[in-house]
Amino acid sequence: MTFAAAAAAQPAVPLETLDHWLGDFRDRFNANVRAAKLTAGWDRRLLVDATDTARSVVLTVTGTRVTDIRDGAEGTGDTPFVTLSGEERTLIEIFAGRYNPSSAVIDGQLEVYSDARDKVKLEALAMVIWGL
Amino acid sequence: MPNALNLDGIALTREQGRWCRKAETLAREVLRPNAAEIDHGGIFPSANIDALKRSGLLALMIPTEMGGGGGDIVTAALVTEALAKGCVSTAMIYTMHQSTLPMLCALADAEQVERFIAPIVRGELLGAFAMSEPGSGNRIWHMDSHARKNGHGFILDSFKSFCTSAGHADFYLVPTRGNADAGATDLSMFWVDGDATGIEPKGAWDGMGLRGNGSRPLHFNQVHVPPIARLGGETTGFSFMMAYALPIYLVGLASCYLGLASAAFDGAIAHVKGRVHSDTQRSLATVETVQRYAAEMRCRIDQARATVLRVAQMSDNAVVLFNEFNTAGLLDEIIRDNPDDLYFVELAELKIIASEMAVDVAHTALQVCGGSGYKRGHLVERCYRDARAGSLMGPSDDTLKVIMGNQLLGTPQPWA
Repeated sequence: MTFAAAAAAQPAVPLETLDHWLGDFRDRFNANVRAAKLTAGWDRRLLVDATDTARSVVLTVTGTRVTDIRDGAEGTGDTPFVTLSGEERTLIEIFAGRYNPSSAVIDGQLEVYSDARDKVKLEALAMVIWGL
Repeated sequence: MPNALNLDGIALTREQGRWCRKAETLAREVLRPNAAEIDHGGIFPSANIDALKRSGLLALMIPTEMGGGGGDIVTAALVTEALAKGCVSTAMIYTMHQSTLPMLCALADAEQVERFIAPIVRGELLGAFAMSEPGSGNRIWHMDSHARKNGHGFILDSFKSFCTSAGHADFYLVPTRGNADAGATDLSMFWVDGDATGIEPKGAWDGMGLRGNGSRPLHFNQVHVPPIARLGGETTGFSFMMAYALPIYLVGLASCYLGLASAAFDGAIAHVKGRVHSDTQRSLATVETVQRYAAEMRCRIDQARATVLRVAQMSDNAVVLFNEFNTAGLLDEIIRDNPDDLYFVELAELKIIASEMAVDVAHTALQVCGGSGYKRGHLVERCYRDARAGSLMGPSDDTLKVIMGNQLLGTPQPWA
């Protein structure tokens, strides 16, 4: 492959951006049988809130699938919110599967606003999706 | 010297404090006065167990929804340490009972809760875990024996090498392979009533230490159990053991050795304060070498206690996660995929730290007490013998170090 061809083959969403890894997360989530079992009856909006860039994205989980990703703080539907808040670089590392979100919370790099059961659900999802 | 500031421990909840005071009182008023006689005669501490039944402590780890105390693993650690300061044989019996409960509660359906758990809540039953087999030794992740379906129920023919409370427990949890063709870790978990026909304790327990815990071989000789006695699936017992029994078991063992070491420390301190040399009219406490020994013992105990509490807290968090996987029907596959998760390495490390600490502290306490401590019947002499069991009890420290080493170095585990 030539450099030009390689450049042309780049995905529309550049690597190492939050958009890229949220899309990757959606694909992994929706292809994962265990994630589906874990999220049966667990419809939520995950608000991903980057504190340093003021970027907000909402992932909507309905019917055991990530059905929507959109900018803003509302998302779709009226399901309960789970908020993940941290610097964009940290959020990228987490959704790339390189940084265990539980470790990120312990390290003070991530704040999660939800009820306790939702936090456990996220921890379990991290384990089945990224093997963390 | 009283503490001017309460910097000596962790902040307990009111419930944790209540359980701890109950255990400390029991240890002081019942367990400690009986300990020497139990050790001397190698006697199972029935009076101590009756007191535990009356106290409600046997139901500490049963969730409140099932009528129990709702205690967590941190509370269990604190309670076990307190009991072990009074009598480590009794604390070990208690630990084995405790080790049955989280798994029992995780696996039991409504009928099994009524049949098996309700009597424990009422303080009627002491349990024991019958695990190790001659073929497995302390490699307790696999079993040779297997269950056999027999019309209405199962037949168990399983020889267990060491079973704390053998012949004394009111029930046993017995892991065996689910059937003749099942793999070594495809385990079923059975409840067996203590008075079931065919339960045969072998010989007498006459150990160097822990002489009261009745840790004899136990043969389940063609024991028939009804269908209700199988807890969970035919081959999922191993995963439930890893998730629900191993944490409380290893935290419990570590807490026993913590209590034992504290007792040895207290015994040594009492000795040096009371021993006065006639030429100087000064107590041993003024000897610099003894002061150094006291400090070393205290450092070792506090270091181990910090680890026990940290891993106990970690285990309470892990249980919440295991419950989530259990609810989703994923626990078995998740555990099988992650048998050497770092969490299990932490648990392994805990047992090694606590048992090595107990040997070191008991050794130092004996050194401090000199000839007095060496005499048969002295508290420190008993602690010295009791402590030596720690590294040998399955899984032995040597086995755990191999597991840890494999995990840390990325080499295959012995069960792989």
